[in-house]
Amino acid sequence: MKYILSIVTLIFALSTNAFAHDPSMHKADAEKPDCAAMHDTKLDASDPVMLAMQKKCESKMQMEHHEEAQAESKPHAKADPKPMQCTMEHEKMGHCEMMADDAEVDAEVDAKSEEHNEAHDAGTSENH
Amino acid sequence: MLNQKSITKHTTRARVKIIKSVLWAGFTFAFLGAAFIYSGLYPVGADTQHNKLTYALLETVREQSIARASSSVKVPDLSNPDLLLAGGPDYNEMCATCHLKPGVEQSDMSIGLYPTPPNLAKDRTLGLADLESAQRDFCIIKHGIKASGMPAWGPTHDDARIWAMVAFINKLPNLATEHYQILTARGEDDSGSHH
Ligand code: HEC
Repeated sequence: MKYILSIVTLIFALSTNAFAHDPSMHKADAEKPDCAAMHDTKLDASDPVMLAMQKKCESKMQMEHHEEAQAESKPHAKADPKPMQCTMEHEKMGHCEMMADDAEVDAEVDAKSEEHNEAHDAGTSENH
Repeated sequence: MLNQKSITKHTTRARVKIIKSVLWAGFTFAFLGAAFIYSGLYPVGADTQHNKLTYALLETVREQSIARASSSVKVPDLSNPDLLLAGGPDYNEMCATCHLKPGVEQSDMSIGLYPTPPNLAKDRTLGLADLESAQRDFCIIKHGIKASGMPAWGPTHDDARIWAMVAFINKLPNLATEHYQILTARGEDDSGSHH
């Protein structure tokens, strides 16, 4: 009984991803921004809402291009700045999965996300 | 003719009488209070509203406490569009069930919770300056509100992420449904959510 309990505890302790509120948790039900609707608006071009929407829609297009490029040539994990995103968004992102067969990259990603979670925990205790 | 001695005796007796009745009143009050508490007559169900007095009392306690805690909070620059991209998806996933969103007027939570979660997609009339209302929102989101449905998000989210939601809430009442959709869609790209 004790043995089972400790195993269960261990599993819980190790599966920090299930508890950390990382945005990647929500990747499963990711919804695409409907960018076509951006243009029918009375918003000023300098309105932060407008700027934010432009940024979102722009980066969405970039991502699509980026994924195409990745599908063609396997990127070098360290040279390309983009795979940094994998460390933030873990394995649930499409292009990280593409690289998952590269065991080295995978390990690195895991290590980084551990670090990242710790930094996150430490950050919450400051002030108030 | 009254002598000095009998006057003092008289006043001492009067004093003892007053003290006795105050004590009795105190005991009776405490006893009735305890009897009421243990009787189980007070309705704690969220489907019966507080009476006006209780509500006013709780509201005052809440507002005074928040005002005190938030007055020293330093507000960062909230005009950066990146904050909206970070706060939007978080709001949509963590808050909209209770606080609603453009085009959604009610939810199980907004109907069932008491105190009712304010509809943050509508203008709130707080009567506060922008700075104060940002401080207030930050404190409420970080620390939550006891015995209401409002959780403290501070233990699980850092300040940067909370400020992003504060920035997003500022804009929320002016967002059209389509804009809300674009800003909150997590999509494949998640550029805003550095924390
Ligand atoms: C389970 C429901 C619930 C969830 C989820 C929730 N809240 Fe709340 N929230 C409430 C309730 C209830 C109140 C009102 C408490 C009161 O009046 O004492 C409240 C109050 C607030 C207020 C104060 C509003 C005002 O003007 O008085 C803010 C701001 C707020 N919530 C932000 C958020 C944010 C941001 C999130 C998501 C991170 C969130 N809430 C998630 C239930 C919820």
